[in-house]
Amino acid sequence: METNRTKSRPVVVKRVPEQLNRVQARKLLNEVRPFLESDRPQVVFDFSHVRQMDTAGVEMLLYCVSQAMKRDGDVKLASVSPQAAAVLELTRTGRLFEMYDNSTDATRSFSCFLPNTLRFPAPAASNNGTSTEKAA
Amino acid sequence: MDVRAILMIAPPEAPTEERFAGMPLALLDIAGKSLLEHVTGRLRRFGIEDIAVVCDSSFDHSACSPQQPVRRHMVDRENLWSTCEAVFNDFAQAGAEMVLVQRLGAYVEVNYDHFLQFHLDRTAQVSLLCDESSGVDLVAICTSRRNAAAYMFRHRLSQFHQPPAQYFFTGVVNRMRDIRDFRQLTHDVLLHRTELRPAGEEIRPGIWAGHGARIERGARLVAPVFLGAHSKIRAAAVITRASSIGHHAEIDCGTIVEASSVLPYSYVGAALELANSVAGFSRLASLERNVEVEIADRKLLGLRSASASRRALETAALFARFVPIEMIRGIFAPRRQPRPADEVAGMRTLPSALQGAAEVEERRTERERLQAPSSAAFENQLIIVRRYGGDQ
Repeated sequence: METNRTKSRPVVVKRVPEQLNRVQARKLLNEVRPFLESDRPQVVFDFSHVRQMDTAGVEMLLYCVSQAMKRDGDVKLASVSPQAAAVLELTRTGRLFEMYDNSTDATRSFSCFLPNTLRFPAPAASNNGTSTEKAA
Repeated sequence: MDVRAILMIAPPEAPTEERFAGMPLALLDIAGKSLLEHVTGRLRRFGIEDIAVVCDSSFDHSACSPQQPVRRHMVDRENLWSTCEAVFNDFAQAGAEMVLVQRLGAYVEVNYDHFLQFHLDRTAQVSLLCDESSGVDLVAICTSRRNAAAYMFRHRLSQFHQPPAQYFFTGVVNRMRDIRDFRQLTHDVLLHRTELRPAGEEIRPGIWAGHGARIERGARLVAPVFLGAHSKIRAAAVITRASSIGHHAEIDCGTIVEASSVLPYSYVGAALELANSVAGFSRLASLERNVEVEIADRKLLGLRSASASRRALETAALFARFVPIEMIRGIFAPRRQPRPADEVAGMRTLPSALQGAAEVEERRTERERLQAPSSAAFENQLIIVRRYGGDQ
């Protein structure tokens, strides 16, 4: 676990194990619980290694974000693997989190807005192809 | 050099083109300001202070009034172009040397200084801004060219007295032809892909809120989002993925707004999911399904009054109606039905209405069993295993 400090409040970066099942989710929750119970917790989950994730993992994420919100904090996701992204979209929980390309950007995003590093689905394409465009 | 500008709000005749709910897209709220206000602000940043807005009088007058002062001309649709010509002549008489005429219309992130310099260098009657596909309804014309201006206005910027000098532009262009383009521009503004910025205070990284915006406890805002002035986000609502909530709009409890724009004074009901849409004026445009529908049910989508006193009265009336109804319901509500002593037996007992049907079904099953004795030899479980386990 890494701890970075932005504007005097620490950001906790936690790497999520390869399989996020019930046992691992409980273990992970026990590890981050002390940070979630602090004032304005700022937690980043690094999903780069996650290959499998079940409902227990999703529930754990929802529990973490609800606890963080109660204390005016936030939980963000970094390096979300395609497998994890698929599960998050399937359970429609992906939209509840800010997702970043890597944990460094996610950590920095607690202190400033980083639009270029935000992983973001594009809006529905225009029929006539006249959406905002920057020609070469 | 004295440069002035004429901005026109004149969507094409087709009822769906460049409009939503009958309003021109240029007057709808994009992260706190209409396109008209955004463009006016850009012109001022380039030192063009004297701006006239010519708008169809059938549209909302208040929406045509940017916060910064402009000359506003609300005229009938038939007189739009002749009014532009008259405004041009007024500018010429007042000493202006050059006039920019822009129809909104498209949003173009052009450097006006470069465009004007191009016009001066070419010494053409008219310079027209073009991107790689076609013209973008932005022209520069010297006030000494009155005849060329008159010809241009009479032909609605589509024909010119002499071929115009074409200024090819390679920057950000959004043609704002339909509601998708409108939504795309909002998305781009929130993700800082244009020069335009949300008109609010950044209360957290990527979350902008106007003056007096209320966010109830338990509401979740996922950056980037914009909340307009005096908007209300009720408990357990989720605003996410570059959504924009207009001023005085209200998102009720538990509703999810994802990649959508909610226009000013709109009310979005409780426990709904608004995704990839634009909602406002009691209408909903779905970008995925490419439809626009009118929602008459105010519990789903409503329109709040623009008057503050009227909104307060409406809230008071709602409260006054709610309390007595709940009291009466509490007093006169029917008592709970006694539950059967044996709940399992109660569940097995068929309602009287289905007794006849049950007898018919029983007789049919008995008849089938007698006609096909071999099939009765299979256990139900075996059939289930065969159905789901045998397709390898």
